[in-house]
Amino acid sequence: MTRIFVEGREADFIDKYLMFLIGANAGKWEVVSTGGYSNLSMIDQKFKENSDNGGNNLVIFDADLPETDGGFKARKKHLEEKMKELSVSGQVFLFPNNKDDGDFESMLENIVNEEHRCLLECFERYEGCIGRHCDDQGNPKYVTPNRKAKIYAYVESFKKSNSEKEKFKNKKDFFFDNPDYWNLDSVYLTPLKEFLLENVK
Amino acid sequence: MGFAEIGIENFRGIRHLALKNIKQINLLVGKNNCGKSSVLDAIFLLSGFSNPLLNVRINQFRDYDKLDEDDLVLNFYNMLPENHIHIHGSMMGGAVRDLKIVPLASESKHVLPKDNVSAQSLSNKEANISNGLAMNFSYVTGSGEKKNGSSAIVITNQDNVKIRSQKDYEETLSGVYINSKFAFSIAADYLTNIIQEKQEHVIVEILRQIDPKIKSISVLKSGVNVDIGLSRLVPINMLGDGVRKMLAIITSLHACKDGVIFIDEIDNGLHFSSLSSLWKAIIKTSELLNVQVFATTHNIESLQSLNKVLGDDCPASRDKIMCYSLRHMDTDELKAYEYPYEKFNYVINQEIEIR
Repeated sequence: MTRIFVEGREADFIDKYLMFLIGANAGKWEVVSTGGYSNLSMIDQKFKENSDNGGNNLVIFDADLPETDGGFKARKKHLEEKMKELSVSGQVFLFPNNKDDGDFESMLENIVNEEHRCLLECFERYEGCIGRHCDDQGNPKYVTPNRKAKIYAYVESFKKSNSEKEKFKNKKDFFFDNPDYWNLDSVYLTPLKEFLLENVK
Repeated sequence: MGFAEIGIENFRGIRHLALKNIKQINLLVGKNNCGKSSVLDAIFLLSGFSNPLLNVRINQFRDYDKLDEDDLVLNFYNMLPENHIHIHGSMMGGAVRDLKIVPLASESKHVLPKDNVSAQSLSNKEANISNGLAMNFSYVTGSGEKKNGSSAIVITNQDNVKIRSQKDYEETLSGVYINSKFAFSIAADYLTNIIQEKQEHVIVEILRQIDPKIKSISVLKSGVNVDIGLSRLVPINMLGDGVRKMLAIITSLHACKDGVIFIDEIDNGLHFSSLSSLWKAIIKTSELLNVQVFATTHNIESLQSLNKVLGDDCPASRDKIMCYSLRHMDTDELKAYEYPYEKFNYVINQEIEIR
């Protein structure tokens, strides 16, 4: 079995994307939410348990940005060193595309349904507006850019049935398996697709 | 006293298991049939390694009361008597315990006419006949002194069971096993001792956390009785499973000073609202009386409750807990993945499955 360690919010996406790529799970994979890249030492036993049983481990985290102690190269180096220190094995993929700086939200921005990309553009104009509000010292008064809010606003803006409203509100379902929202055939997903198809056995 | 490390080989479905970094309170979690209870049974055998009756007792815990010659192989890996059981462990003070359980070869029950031996059907089974189990044990004290001994349980021709013990060895390690079936029968004896030591108020205080109506507890001819404010005492059997389970656990802890207690399915019979009281009582009593605890569970509410108690009520006890996530490998090796408090706390909060 392939055990896939993610930071948290990507778990549902990985699950649904794998079903899109290779069909029903049937015990082929398990997604584990770790709570963040700095917590590997808390879950080393889950890596070892799967390896001991003949499974393989995947780590799919955010590359993040250099200004927040991240960036693709630095984060990948950090994770590989940490895994070596913990004596655990696994292949690493970093959002958005395993070569650039960024995160899960950066990836999502690249796979929205083009018909609705206008929603992101509207949000960017809104952020431009609130970014002009400053405090007494001339510093920005509000958080911009706010990319998590941007993705949330994108999903929230779609008209939904009552059951969809309930899933969105209570289960934080972002409808990753709904092509009206997301384009899982996007070329932007090719690196992730190749990584998963090669490693999920 | 108490164990620091334990190794188990060829016991029931377990070809091999190593438990390291054992603490005062040790939780064994894992899927159904992975071998959690067998681990408890094996450590129980090691705790009383000179007592051959334990071979029978551990099967009685599973509602299996029979002891025929065919049953002697039940506890051997793959039920093959050539897979001799080996259970060993090092103790906190440096002593070492070692137990090997082997079948006792018996004389054949077949009587053959001497001039017609070759007419008997050829079978290799004849050589494997055994009518008993020998427990060969050795004990190395912390100062290096070594003692050996052997005891046995033998099924006689009259189908009675004969016990042969090592007379010059006296067990110093107290061990009590609580399982769901036998939990309530053991409380009366222990409670009598507690009452004699004027400590019943401690028990009542703990039981009141499950049933606030309980005012006092006593042992009469009819068994354990409680005062719940009615005109007469009420046999404890009339109260709920939770009260009785809690009573069995707490009285056993008191009976096991400086010893080891084994609790199978620790939360069985307890409502989730009582779990916090259970863990607090176990943590405090085990520390007070220096009792080592081994317990099994697969109840997430029980794990969450322990995590909360360690977080809020007993932070000083965090380093006295170890949770072992047991996983049965295809090779029949049972692997124990260790979750000391920090990791335990993390996976429970993160809802990562370790059961």
